Amino acid sequence: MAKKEAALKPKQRGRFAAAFFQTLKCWQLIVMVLPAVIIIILFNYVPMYGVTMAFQNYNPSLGFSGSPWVGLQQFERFFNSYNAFTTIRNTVLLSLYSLLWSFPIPVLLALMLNQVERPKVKATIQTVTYLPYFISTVVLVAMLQLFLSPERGLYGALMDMMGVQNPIDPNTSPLLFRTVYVASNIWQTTGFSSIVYLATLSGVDPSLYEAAMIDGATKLQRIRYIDFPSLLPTATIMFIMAVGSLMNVGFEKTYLMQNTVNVSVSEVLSTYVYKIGLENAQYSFSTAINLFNTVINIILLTATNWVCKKMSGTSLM
Amino acid sequence: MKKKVLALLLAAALVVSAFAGCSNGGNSSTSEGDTSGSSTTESGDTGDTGDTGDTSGETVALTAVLIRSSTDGEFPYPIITQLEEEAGVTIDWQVESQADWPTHKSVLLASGDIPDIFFGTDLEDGEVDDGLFIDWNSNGYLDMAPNIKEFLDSTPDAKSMATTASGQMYGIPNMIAFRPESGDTLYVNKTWCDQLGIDIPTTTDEFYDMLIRFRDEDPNGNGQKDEIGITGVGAPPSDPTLGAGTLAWAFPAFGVVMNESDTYCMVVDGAPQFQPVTDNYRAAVEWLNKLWSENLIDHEYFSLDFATQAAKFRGETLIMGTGSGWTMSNNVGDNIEHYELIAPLTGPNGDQYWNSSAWFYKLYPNRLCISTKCENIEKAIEFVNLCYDQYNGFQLTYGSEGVSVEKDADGNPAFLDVPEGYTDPEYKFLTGLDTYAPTWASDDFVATIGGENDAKEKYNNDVYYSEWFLPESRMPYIVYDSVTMDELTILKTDINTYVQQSVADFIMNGVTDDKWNAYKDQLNKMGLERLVEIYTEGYNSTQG
Amino acid sequence: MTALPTGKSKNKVKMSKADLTFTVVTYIICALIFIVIVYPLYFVVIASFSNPDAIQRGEMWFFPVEPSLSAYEEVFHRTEVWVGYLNTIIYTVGNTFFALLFTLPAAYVCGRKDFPLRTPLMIFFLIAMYFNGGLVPTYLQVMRLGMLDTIWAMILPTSVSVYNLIIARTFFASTIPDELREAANLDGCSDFRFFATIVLPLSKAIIAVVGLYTAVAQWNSYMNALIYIQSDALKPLQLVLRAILINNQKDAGGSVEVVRKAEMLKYALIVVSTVPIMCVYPFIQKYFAKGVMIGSVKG
Repeated sequence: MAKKEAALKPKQRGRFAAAFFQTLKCWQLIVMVLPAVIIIILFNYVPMYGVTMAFQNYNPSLGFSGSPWVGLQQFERFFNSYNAFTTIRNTVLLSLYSLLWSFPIPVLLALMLNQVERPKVKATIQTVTYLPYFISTVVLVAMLQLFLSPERGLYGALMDMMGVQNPIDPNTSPLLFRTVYVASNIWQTTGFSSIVYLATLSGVDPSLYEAAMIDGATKLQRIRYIDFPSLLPTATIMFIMAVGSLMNVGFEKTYLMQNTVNVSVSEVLSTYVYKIGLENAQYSFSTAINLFNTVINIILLTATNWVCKKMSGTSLM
Repeated sequence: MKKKVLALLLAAALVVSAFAGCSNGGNSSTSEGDTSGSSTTESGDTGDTGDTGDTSGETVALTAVLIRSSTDGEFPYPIITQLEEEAGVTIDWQVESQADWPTHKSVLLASGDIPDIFFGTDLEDGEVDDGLFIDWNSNGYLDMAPNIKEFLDSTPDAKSMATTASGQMYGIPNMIAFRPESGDTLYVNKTWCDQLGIDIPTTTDEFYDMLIRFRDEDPNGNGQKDEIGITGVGAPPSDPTLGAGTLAWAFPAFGVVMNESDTYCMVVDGAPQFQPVTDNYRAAVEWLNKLWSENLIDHEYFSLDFATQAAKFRGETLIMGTGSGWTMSNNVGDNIEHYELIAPLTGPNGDQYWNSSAWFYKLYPNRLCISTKCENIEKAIEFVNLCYDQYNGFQLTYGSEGVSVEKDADGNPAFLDVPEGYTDPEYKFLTGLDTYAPTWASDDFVATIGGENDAKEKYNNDVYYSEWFLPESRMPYIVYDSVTMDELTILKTDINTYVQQSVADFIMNGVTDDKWNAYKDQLNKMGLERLVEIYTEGYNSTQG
Repeated sequence: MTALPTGKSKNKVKMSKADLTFTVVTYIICALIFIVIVYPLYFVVIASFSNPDAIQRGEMWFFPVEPSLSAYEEVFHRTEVWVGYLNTIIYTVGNTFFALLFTLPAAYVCGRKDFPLRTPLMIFFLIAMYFNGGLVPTYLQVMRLGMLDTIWAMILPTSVSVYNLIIARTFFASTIPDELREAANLDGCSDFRFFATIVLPLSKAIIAVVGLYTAVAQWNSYMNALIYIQSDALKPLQLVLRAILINNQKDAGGSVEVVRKAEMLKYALIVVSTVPIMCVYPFIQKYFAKGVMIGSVKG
């Protein structure tokens, strides 16, 4: 008894108790957060044991309890594959290009639209830019391949007009694959992504603008000194989260755009896993690769979060 | 403001109670893992799990899952109801679509509560051999199904497809009437040939000359250089024909006879030989490169999918000189009168062959499986045995008697004409299970089938090309054990992707000695030797 | 105007010029954006009426070729499409409702700097966002909860999106000033009351954003319905449309007519599923207007 009391110094005990009581004081906040926590536990944490599939040789007939444990074997299989690093490289590069180009553009669009005086123009452009988001990937790629066809499409007609013989085919060229991929991404998602920035900008106190205008600030200056800083926290968080999904290059679009000519740049982790799965259903293998992705994502996320915290004070945690 | 919160809460309460009130009594899913699905019939049945029919004890209740290619039309088909009655069973059917099956399958198998009969579904070798399904070679099960036994005994490829290395049989394959052994056809624009006074080409050189003339002499007469010599589906990613897509017909002319198995091997001197590193293969791609560099092949070829390339064949102005595909009518549509099927080309060394496989288009593995948890396995076997009666099977495949097929005056099976407004394939998907029917049809049986149907077109094409098959070079279907399968999966995917990539490169950019050697070295580095070793072991296990 | 010193009028002129250039450039960009986006959308619409072969051959650019309504007929003559519309509306409203109900308060709490459990809570949510058990375990869980083939399977599992939660948290943390909270505290305002009566009305924009993102995600989704729903009466629109498309897409063994219809359907389905969303959006747009925060902090 005496030993125990000596172990926990009075100061520590006090702090612990203080924290406990302080938490209790916020009971209302706890209630507010409870439903979300319950949902997450039920639908995210309880099923999380599925991640362990990455360390098994999962057979659906045997289930989780029956499938044999193989440790890191699935990961070894992946890294022993000849194409492992090319695939990883393609995934990272594609994501990086996407991030570099398609991250700033919605921000710029929001900043620009916010300055548009005529509400009708602003509303039209907003609605119009947000519509492409609803076009299914299948149709998007079909249109892309048609428009960019050197024989049948607008691209071909343009090249003809300019007198270019044998123009490069964007649909098959490994050189243009990333450009086409990223450009079409931008086309499709800019409007939708800018919504959150427009919403943030709408919360800016208009009296700030009035004050700035009295001081003679141009629109550009107003953007620089008022709009941009107000967007910074949101943009930083969005950026951190985008980096945190760097390894998640979507399957459908890449697969549809892939062919044997551009496969050297278009083979990413998700398409690779799919092909393996076509050979033979590979539940554990794909779980292992997903886990690998997740770990890399988390590392990147933590690093970016730390940098952003140092630079601007905004961070995820 | 308080009122607003109160109002919100009230609304929430109302909504919640409304939902609670109308939570659908659909599937009874509260028990341990009952996922037996609802039978979806046209009448809008909202999925009750109750048995249909009487429970007098005379009929045995079973559950089954199958795949239909259409969601329209009445289901269960008359033939199915008839067979149920004959066997004295009542089946609760779970109907799946082909696209959704892979997703549903993984969940179904994992939940542990699977239907009694997997009646015509896709299941992989690795999924059936782990105690979920009965071994037909045990407990005399196979003897309880004489029709199935007859099928397996008379079709060695089917038997080897179904049997594991250690002699068990978990899934019965199917073999559908009129399914072919070859996948391709080759046809030329006869109208243009007549126009320009060209004879139907018989050799690769003649073919080349014809294409040159097509390109230069404006056979469609519109003054534009819009003629295309060859186009097709340029190597969809998962492709058994070397990554050359619908140019596969060119390879047999150089002695590379692909057997439609994605092993890319021919059996030569009793062992599998990997073709993409042989000199014959090189000669073939060099010839194709010659065509490519002369603009005789559509330069868009490698990015085209089926619909896009088919569009080039149709339309009022003819722009296509030749084509290749499943059937001519499939691709060419209304312009069919302008095209004619031709015999395989003879290559520079006198090779004249055609790609074929004993099983790739005809036999599907593991179509029929019965769960070990089925309470009345004997009855289940009795039922499925009836399905393997050839005439019954014919109805299961193409449609029931009186609906799509009939027995003619001599007692032979025959197709009925399809009703107005439907095409043959459409009607087949509506009233039958097509390649998902668990049944078989021997060549003798097929020969007796009368009536007209598009299915016969493909079969007749096949008969036409069978003269040039090279059966002794075909790779059999090999069943691997799971350890080998794991190794094989990655090795094969990597190597095949590289081969496909290189084919495109060779055809577009040509081959030099350096390039060819580097290519072969690369394949060796990727583990080609080991891959061929696996194939050889597998091949040996199927012999004798 | 007349009595202004020269310095000030020079300022005004400079301002107008810079602003004028800016405005002109802005309008040019807007025009370009309009063309680049509207043309492909227009293309989708006319493609849904046209002969797909002609489209593929590059013969259709501004007007429909061989117009036909067969794709739309195919879609609308089926009752399951209308049932699908209804179901999707129910699921979308339900899902969005619960998403807002659960996510917004939680986001607010996570943004409160004085909440002691803040960091562990964030880590809790972030881990959930990254580690996913996969299809099978989630399915088994839904099954265990007795939610298979019910509305709840469509509404509850996706009701808390950590992504949205983080966006909302950022908004709350940066827009609701601490002084406001302190002032309310002094007045004896509880956390509940503060949130409901002060924070929410100021956060119309973020409510609109989270609501919109959730609604759109739910409207477009079919994956959950694919694995959890079996009864035809409960299937949402996307699932129904997908089934129609697949139904019409046959591969090598298929008929010409059927494949042709499938091609037209691809485009028609987009029109069919997007038009309702297009109609709803303008109502939400007004929440992104300027000046929503008027009069909040002052005084």
